[in-house]
Amino acid sequence: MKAQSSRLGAFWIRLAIAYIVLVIIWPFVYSAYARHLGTISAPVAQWLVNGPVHTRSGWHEGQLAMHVVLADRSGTKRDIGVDVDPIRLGFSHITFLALVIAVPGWSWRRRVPRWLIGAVGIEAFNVGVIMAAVFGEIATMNLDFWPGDVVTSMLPRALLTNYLNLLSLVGAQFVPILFWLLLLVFPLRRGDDAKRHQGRPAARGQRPPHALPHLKRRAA
Amino acid sequence: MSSHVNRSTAALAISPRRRRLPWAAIRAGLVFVAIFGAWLWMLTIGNLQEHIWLPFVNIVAQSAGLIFRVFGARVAVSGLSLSVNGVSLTIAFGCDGLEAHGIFIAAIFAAALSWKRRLLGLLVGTIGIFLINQIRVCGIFLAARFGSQWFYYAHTVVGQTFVIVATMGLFLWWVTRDESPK
Repeated sequence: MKAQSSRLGAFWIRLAIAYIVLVIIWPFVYSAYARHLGTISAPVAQWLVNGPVHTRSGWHEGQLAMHVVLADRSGTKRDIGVDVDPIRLGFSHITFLALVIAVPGWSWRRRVPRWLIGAVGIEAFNVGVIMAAVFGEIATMNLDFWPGDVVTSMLPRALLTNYLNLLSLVGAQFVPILFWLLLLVFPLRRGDDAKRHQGRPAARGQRPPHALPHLKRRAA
Repeated sequence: MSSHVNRSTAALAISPRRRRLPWAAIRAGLVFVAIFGAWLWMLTIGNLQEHIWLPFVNIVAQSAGLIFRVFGARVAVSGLSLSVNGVSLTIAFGCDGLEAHGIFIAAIFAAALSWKRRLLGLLVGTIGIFLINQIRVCGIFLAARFGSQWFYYAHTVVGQTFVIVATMGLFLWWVTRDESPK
């Protein structure tokens, strides 16, 4: 019981320290992160629109204003502006990283690859939010390249226009938690790990013996 | 005999170590996504909004007002709005912690727990997340009252993150809690 309390105490202390450090660092990197989001979104937008696309991104009133310039069927160039919130999107990474640092029961050798996998997943989700914003804007403006060649076959219009806000609101909270649970919490509950450690203290770098005690009992 | 043993040893030595897929974790992940998806869908149903979610948001607003009154602040509550000295804050859908409740419920059902612990966990989680969300609502109201320049960050960044992370801390505490007889 005492060991559990100290483990959970360590969780909260690590979480608090990780959050404070990350939040202090964040203002110095979020501008670069926003530019990075614009850079990796451009080829995806180009691929989805299936036509000539020019994207540029910059800051506008504290938001990442991303412009997608593309030609409609008549050849007229259209400039579509999309505002996305890099603070919200970037905070997914902060939440995930802080939870990865804080969760008990993993060696750093195993923690780091799981963090990288989750970070790539979060990036993919963030690019998805930006793409949904771009095509939601296209749908709202009723531009005549809508239905686009690829997009309509992939996503229903209502999803883009009605659920975009819900997606970015809930997704930014939900996605880091999903990756954390999938990569670091649910895999902990394996009977073989509990068995492997039974009866001897965990060596440095190994998972502790009682990470999930009810499973240890079940395995026994 | 000896050569047989040697062949077996050699075979063991050169065969790559089999890595089993973590099926339990994958199954838990699928259960989590399915339940949380269903919960989000339920949040959008008109009838449920009218008869369950809206009264719940009302309870959140009323109890936030009660907390302020307990501490001596004269905060007026009208419907879903809290107001004091000309500063008003409306508790909307999304400020009610219902997404956090959904994440907790999905995680509890996905975890390898007995049904008794799941149901007790739901009770503990419901009360715990409600209290966690009340801290957020009161904090946001204080930010609106005393530091309006920080309102956006308090509302969008700090408040949401606090609720989600505290919810996960509560979940981790519940699944790692040892209930073996002393």
